[in-house]
Amino acid sequence: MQSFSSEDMSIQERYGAIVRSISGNARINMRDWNFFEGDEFVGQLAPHLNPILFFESWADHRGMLDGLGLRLAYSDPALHRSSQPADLMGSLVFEVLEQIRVESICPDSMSGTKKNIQNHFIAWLNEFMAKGGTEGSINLLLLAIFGGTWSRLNNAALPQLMQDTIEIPRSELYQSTGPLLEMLKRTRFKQEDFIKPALEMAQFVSNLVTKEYQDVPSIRIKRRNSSKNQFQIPWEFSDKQRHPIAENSPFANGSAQQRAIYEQALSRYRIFDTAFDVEIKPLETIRMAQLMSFREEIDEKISSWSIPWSRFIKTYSALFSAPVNSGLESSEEGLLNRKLLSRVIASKSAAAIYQKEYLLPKPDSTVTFLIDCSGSMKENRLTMAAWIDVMVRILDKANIPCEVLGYTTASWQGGRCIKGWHAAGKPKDPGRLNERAHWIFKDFKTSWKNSRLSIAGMLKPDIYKESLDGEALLWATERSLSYQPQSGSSNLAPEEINHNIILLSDGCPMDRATQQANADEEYLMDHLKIALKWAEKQSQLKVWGCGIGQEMRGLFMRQLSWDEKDEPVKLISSWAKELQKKSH
Amino acid sequence: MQNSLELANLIDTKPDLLISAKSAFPECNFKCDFEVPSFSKINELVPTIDPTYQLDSDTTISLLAGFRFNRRVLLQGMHGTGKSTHIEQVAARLNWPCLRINLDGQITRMDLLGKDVITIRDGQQVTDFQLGLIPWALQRPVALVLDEYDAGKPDVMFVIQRMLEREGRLTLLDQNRVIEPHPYFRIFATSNTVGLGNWNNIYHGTQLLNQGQMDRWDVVAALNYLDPQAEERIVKAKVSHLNLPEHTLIASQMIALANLTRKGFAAGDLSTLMSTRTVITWAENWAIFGDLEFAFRISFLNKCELEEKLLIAEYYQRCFDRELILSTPSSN
Repeated sequence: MQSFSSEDMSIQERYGAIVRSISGNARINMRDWNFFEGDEFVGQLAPHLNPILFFESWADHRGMLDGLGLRLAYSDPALHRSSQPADLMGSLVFEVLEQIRVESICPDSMSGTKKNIQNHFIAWLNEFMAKGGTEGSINLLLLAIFGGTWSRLNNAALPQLMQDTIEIPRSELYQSTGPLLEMLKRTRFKQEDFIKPALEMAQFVSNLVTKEYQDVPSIRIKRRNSSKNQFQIPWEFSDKQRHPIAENSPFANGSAQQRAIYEQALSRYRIFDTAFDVEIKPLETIRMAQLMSFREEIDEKISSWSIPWSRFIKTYSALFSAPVNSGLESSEEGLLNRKLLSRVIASKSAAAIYQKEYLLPKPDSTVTFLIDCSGSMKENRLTMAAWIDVMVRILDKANIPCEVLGYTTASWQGGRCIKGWHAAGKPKDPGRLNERAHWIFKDFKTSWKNSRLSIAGMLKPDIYKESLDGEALLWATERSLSYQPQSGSSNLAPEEINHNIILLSDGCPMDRATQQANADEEYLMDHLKIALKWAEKQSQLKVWGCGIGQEMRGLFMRQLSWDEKDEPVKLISSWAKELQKKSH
Repeated sequence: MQNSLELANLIDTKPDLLISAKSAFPECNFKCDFEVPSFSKINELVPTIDPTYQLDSDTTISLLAGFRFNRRVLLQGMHGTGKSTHIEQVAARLNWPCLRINLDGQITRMDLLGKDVITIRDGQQVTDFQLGLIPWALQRPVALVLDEYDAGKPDVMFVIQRMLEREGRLTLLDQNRVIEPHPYFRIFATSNTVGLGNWNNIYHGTQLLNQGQMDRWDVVAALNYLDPQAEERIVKAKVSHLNLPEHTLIASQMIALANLTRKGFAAGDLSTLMSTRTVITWAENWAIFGDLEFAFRISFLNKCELEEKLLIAEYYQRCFDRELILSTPSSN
């Protein structure tokens, strides 16, 4: 499991909130140190706003957040994109100029923001200089253009050293760029008008660079060799992420429509052979004596944690409950209760002759723990099983229905499926090619007490093999959505229940046989992405990612923290906070 | 109130002037124009004019239509947008008597319609029917403003339902009386929600409104927060401290901060926001205590939860370029 501390999460939450407030765009959020609008990646940011810089000590985080906020507030992305030059250098210059423009029109009333963005921009230019920005004519040219435009638009002076450095190229360029700078400044309040001079400037720089390359054809190679730590502007030309669904129409905005699109995409997932897929319950397959010894290990682990049970039971009970109308109670106001009228005669002071409705919190949610039982999770299985056991116990005592599911494969390297595939003459693109194994450690109906041994089954080392995450998520979703409350336990209709699936996994789907047999190496990964999108479009269902590896982390709208070093007690409290925050 | 001679005579009064909406409200720049009845004399029910109040053009014309054409106007908006004051200020400019009733959860049918009270007359105990505010207002040229319309209890709301129809008569069952409304009786209401209840957990105590009742409102006007320049004018007009030459930028910074909290609120990051009222209070407290940051803390920050304070401190830095120190000696 990958560590992801709750502090980290709350900082990102706050950063997202700052950008939301400055931009006024409520859909912006920050996940895995990247910005998203809803679930779309906010890509193609000017290099000095590249989220990678959050990890640099010189960067002013506030300046970056404010810059992005202003960009979203004052710039129309569609207009910007439609006018963007097609070449790499041109698009970079055009992008930076647009960012300088929005930063320069920051209202005076936000003096702190103004200072933050200026500090950050200067810090970025300084870093550019320090890491070789003054070596090579192209770097110097960019420094002069960016620094010069910034200084002109903001009416602010650059640091002395920087001024001296760019003095010569600046004065050389002045003849061509002088009028352009003037126009940029004049039109900075209107994006439509700003585009023309910005494009001219981009074109100008682009031409100069092409000329430079022509003159010295080996410049690129030379530069690469000359110094490895040379500052390079990380610039992604296109922000189009690899999207598994090509026909994702921008017009399909309704969640039902989107769901239909994802369903269609899911239906294209192929499985070569389902004959060997199994659903396993530990009590049926693992020896009782072995389960009991596993259980002892878990109990020992938990006892070392000293968990304040009653406090957490209360917290989680409140978290997953909603006030439900639970009938009428006597009161001093409300509707007259005729049954109590005689009291007025018997005792004049009897005031409680009215009745009114009262609300009691009743559980309105289910929780499913979906555990990745792939080989890499084997190492931590004791901590994981103990942790799950603690959570199940808390939820069980709080009367919240919960389920513990695990997913893996029944064999390595494709097992019997791959033999069948070989026998069939290795047809092209067979789809998933392994024996799926779904483990049910605890279902909704079984209480914690009755599933203690079953949960201990997680400790069996040989169940940990490969993983098919997409299918597992669909399976858990289906099980969760078809949950029927036991009659009398709650007044809620099935559609009023909130379902939560907590996916505990450390990486991406991994099945070597499938990967090798299919042309698309990311076949399983794409399936998981679509399955996740589809699950998130289900009303009443929330998917939470926990411990998710770098590659997939950004895709989870909701995440829970995980830190091996943390005390479990701290982790339970921070989960409660995180679950509450993103529940609404 | 009923005893005042002047108010008793109100029954026979009628608006005696007709003024053009455009000329009476030049600041609003209406697209249409019509004549609005108004009174030449004022009485104690006419609110006083606040010259600093910024009228919103769309809301004003909706309210004027209410006065002129007897339309039922519901004003919806978030707290602190000045809904009730807006109605009062329009009434004040027409010299129209105005009566505000706060429809909180405790107001009962009897309060509104009237009840039997025991009084002493000539040394004798007698039961007297005391007319409630609604039948009293109904018979006079009064603009009845029902504040917090969405907080009223459902059973009370049905009392009002009948009145919402134009020329709707009111039957007082206790007295076997039918009350004809005065031709210049007008009814307005303000609410935080649009009758859908407490949807984002901020307006506790609001009720779902009966759709039949929502349907009876002819005009529903939405009043949002003012644009920053207009808000700055108001705040500066209200608090003279902000007009000092050394404070020229501060008012706009305060409003920029208020706007950040509003956006944060809209995105669900804050559970409370700064209304124009909060900004004014802050400026007033600043004049009292002489410390902008301390005044901010007591006027707004202390209303927020600890986690939200961190975000507000960031906002504060954005607007004032100064760190807001969160820990106070007592919290240490």
